[in-house]
Amino acid sequence: MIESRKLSIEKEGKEILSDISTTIREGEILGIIGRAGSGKSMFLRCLSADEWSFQGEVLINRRPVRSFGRKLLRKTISCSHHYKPGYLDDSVYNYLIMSRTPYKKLFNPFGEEDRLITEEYIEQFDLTEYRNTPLRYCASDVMARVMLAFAFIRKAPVLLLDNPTCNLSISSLLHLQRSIMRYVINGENQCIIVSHDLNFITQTADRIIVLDNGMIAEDLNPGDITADIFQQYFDTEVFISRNIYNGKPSIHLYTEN
Amino acid sequence: MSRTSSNHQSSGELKALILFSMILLFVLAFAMVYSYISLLVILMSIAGAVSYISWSRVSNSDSHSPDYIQSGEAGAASLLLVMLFIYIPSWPVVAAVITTFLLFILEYMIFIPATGNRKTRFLPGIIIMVVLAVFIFYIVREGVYPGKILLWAPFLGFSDLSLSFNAILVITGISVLLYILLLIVNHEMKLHGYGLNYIELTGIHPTLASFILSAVRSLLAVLLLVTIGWTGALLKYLPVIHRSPTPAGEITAISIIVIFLLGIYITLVYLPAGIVLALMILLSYIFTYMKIYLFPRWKVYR
Repeated sequence: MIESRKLSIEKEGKEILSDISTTIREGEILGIIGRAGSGKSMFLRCLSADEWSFQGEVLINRRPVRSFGRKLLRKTISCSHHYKPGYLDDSVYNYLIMSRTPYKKLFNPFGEEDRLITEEYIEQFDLTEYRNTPLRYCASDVMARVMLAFAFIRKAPVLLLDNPTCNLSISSLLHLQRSIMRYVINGENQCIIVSHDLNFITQTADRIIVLDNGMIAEDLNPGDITADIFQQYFDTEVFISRNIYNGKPSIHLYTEN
Repeated sequence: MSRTSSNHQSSGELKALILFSMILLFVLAFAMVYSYISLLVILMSIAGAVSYISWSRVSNSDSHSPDYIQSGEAGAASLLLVMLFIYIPSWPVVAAVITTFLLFILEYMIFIPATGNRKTRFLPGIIIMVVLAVFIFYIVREGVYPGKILLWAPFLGFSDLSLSFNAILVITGISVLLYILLLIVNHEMKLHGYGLNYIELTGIHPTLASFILSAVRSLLAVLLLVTIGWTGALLKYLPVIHRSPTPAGEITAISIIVIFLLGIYITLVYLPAGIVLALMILLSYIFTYMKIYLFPRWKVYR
C-alpha cells in the first residue's frame, strides 16, 4: 500500500502540488489524468522519491519513504521514464538485466532468477527478436518497450509508469496493458499510471484521479467518467461510448469535418 | 546449457591468452635481434594497452565518444606534467603522482560534468590542446624548459626516462590490478555509463560514484601518458577495441594494441615524433568526424 498524506511541493514560488492525500492499495491500478502542468509527473516523482523537496508524507506499507535506504527504495518502487541510457551499445538483454541490480550483491554476478525474470519480460513485451540488438539500433517503439520492460523486471511492489504509451504501436499497447494486468493480479503489487492517453487509462485503470492545478479534482471509477469532466478539466468536448467487450468507457473527440 | 557456455567462454580466454603469449614471444625475439625495442618498452606498451582497455571500460567509450586525447584529459595531464618537470625535473614519478591528484580535481570539477553532454564532449579537448600548444611553444622559444628529453616524456611515454625496472614493474602492476578491479565491478560501471539515475540501483550515492570514477579516470589518464603518451591517438579505431567487452576479447585487443604501439615506436625511430603524433591526432579527429557525420551506423561497437 502506498499513501500520500498532505503532499505539497513548490518550485520557484509556484505551488505544483497542494495537499494531495490518497491511498493506493495492493492489486490496484490507479490512473492519473489532467491537463499539461497539472502536477501529474511531479506527483509521480514524489512517490518514486526522485523528488525529495516535498512537504507532507509518502508512506509505503505505513513506513515513510524518507526512511528507506537507497537500495531498498529501488527494490520497492520501480518507475518507468523516458530518459534513454547514456550508453547505447549494450544489447537489449544486457540492458534489461541491469534492472535486477538491487537484488544483486555488490561485485557478484546476476543469479538464475534474475535471468529468468528478464527472459519472462522480454517475451511479454515481444522483444525476443531484439534480445541481442544494441540499444542504438532499436526503433522508437522497440526502445519504448525496452524502457517499460526495464521497469517491470524489477518486480517492485510499487510500479509507477509515466506516460507509458508514448511511442508505442497498437500491438505494443496491448502488450503493455496485459503486462500491467498480470503485474497486479497477485494482489501484492500496485501500479500507478500517469498518461495523456485517456482511452488507455479508462481501459486499464481500476480507479482514476483527475489532477487540476496540483489538487485532486476528481477521484472516481472509470465507469463514472462523464463528458462533463473533460469539458471542465480539459476544455474539450468529447463523447463517450462503452467498449462492447468490457463495458469500460471509450473517449472520442468531435473531429472538425 | 550454462556449463557449455561457460566452457566456451573459458576456451575463448585460453585462446586469447595463447595469442597474447605468442605475440609476446615474437616481440621478445624481435627485440633480441634488433635493438629498436627494449624490454622496458615492451612492458610499458603492455601496461599502456591494459590501461587503454580499462579506460575504455571506465568511459564506456564507443566510436562516437572522444578518447583520452580528444577529451582533453591527456592534454591537461601533459600540461601539468610539463609544468611540474620545470620545477622537479629529476623526480618524474613524483610529478606523475601530483599530476594524478590535480587531474582528479579537474576530472571531478570539469571533465565529467562537461563530457556528460554529447555536444560538449569534444570542446574541452580542443581548448586544452590549443592552450598546451601555446604553452609548449612559449617555453621552448623562451628556453624555460630545462631538458629536451623530459619535454617529450608526457607525449611519448616515460620509456626514454631512466626509470628503474622496479618502477616499470609497479606501473605495469597497477595497470593490471586496475583492469582486474574493473572486471569485478563491470555491472556497476555499466550502470554508471547508463546515467546517474541508474547507479542508484546499486545503492551507491551518485555523487560518491562520480567521485570514485573521477579518481579512477584520472589515474588511468596519467598511466596512459606515463606508458604510451599520445601514441594511442588512433587506438580507438583498431577494429578489435570495441567488439567484445569479454575478457577473451579484451586480451585479444591488448595483444593487437601492443603490436600497434610497438609499430608506432619503431616508426618514431625513423620519423620525427612531432610529425607522427600530429598526424595521428589529425587522423583521429578526421575518423571521429567521419563516424559521427558520414557513417553513423559503422559497426565497431562494444
